[in-house]
Amino acid sequence: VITDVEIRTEDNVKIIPLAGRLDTYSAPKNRKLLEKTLTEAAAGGASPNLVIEMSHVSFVDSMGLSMLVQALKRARELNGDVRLCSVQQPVRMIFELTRLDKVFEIFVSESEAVQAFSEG
Amino acid sequence: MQEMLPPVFERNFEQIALLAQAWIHSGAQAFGIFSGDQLLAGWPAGAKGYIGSIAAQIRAGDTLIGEVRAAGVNGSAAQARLQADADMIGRLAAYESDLGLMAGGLLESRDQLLALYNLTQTTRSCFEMPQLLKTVAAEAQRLAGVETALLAVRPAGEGLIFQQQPHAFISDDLLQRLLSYIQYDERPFMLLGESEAGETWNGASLLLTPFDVRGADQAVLGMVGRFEHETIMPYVKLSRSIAEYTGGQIENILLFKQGIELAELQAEMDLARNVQLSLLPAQLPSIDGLDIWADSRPASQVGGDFYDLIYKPGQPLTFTAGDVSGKGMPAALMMAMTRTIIRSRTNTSPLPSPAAILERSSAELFSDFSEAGLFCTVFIGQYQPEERILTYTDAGHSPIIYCPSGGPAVLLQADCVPMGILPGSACKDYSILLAPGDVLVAGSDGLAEARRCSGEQFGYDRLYRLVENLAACPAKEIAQGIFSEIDEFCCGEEQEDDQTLVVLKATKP
Repeated sequence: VITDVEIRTEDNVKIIPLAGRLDTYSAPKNRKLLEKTLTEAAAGGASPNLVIEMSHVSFVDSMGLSMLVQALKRARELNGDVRLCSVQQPVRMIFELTRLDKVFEIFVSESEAVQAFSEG
Repeated sequence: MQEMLPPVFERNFEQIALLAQAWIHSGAQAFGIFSGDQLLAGWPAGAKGYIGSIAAQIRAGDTLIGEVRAAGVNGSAAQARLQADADMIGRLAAYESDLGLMAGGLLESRDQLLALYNLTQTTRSCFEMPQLLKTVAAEAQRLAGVETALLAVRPAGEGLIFQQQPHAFISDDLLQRLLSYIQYDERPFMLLGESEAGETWNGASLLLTPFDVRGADQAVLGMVGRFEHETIMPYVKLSRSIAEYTGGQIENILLFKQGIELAELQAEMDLARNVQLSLLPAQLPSIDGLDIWADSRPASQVGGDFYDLIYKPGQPLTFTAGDVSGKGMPAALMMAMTRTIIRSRTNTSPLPSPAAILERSSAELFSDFSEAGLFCTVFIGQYQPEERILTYTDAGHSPIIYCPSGGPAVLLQADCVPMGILPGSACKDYSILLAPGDVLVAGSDGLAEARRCSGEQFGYDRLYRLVENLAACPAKEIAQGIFSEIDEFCCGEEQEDDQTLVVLKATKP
């Protein structure tokens, strides 16, 4: 089910709750959403800091991973970062198997992810 | 309405003459038929004066159209008979008039049919939406004889396409606002004199007729003219007929466009599949003490799976299994490049270790992967048949299943992140013993992630058990067994991702 994503801002950190399957079918839409959010967050020279809330993400395939990696690379180019939180165990396993858990900072909760930004 | 009678009289002269002769035979001195004061005909021939005569008015409906007179007869019976004759001529005139109107109507509708036929002829060769809308708008304007006709269509999820002929009458912006106003109304909508926006249209009115089109969010036909509420009906009807016909044409174009897009996508996928399959090794090397089998099954939306086997007698066998993220042509091209670079980095002397091959390939490919927004998981293994040592490195590729003789099967965990994500590589070499009876299965994520219709995944545990159960078989049967078990699990569901397997089984020399 594709629903409109409600993006929130907390301490200059954009929180994006994604849901469902991050796969070939949903990747184009989510890629656009992340690009747009990054561009908006970077307006005026600010560092775009994003937290992707994954508690409702049930599956991630290589298209979904590549969409997240692209956003991460773009954010770091702009001196920002993309961090993940509330990742379900089966999804977390995909990150571990592909060793992307070494690339993304993954937090247990949203508040911890947001707080980590303010601590540098 | 004095002009109504003469043509009726002329067309029905014989019948009226019979009426006249009946009066003469029954004793009348003369009989005549008048339109106003003008005598149309008199009996007997040449009779002119009707002094002392009786007369009866001829009426068609409520309209007085003439008179009949008879001389030499009197009394109420004669008067009643004369009135009956007058009434009959009046009815005849009324019928003829109705018939004339109906014939006129028929002619008009025949003209409309002909015009619609012309419309079908001129739009038959339109394959582009703006061209179709322009043609129909021009024909509608000509047909209805209005000042301007306009057509607007919003294909599902796209922007508005809008044409007006012969000249622009309303702005795009105003049309957009009008469309949002009539969005949920299927009735024609008329705007008289001045628009709601306060623009003056010099007394012209706009008649908008929304119509349904499959594959479009909104479609509307507009006519601009000097309409009155009393005379608008013919325009509403004509608009309906044109709209109905145009709706069908628009659907055809939308379907046609969709067909082309699908064909383009299919062509790209076919090309990508050809690239992928042409790069897979055609022959498996034959090595003493090692049973090898490899196969890849591309999904309909081709992913970026690949494998390779590089062997020169006297050297270890180097083999790779990889998966470029993404689908279609971009993934297939990056996969071709990755495979080629890894191959060229392997074919150097002395033979580099798997981690060294990966590090050099990674450095070379990083910027290309970044640019394409893709990355690639790779497993590289090297097997020394004499010492039976398998050295390997793994950049995020999974699953790699190691099943020693007698089991249990275990997963060899990836050591570093996939190629194309970080500029450097921190991969290390690892070694295991592959003794006779031991099996190594290097698969791709499409195996464990294969789904049945309920959404349930094949998963890692089923894979481990399957490898354990098949471990006694030759490499080819292990691969075929895994594929057929996954097919059975998916019960006919379409394969969503590529599925690739490289199976190595150590045998007694």
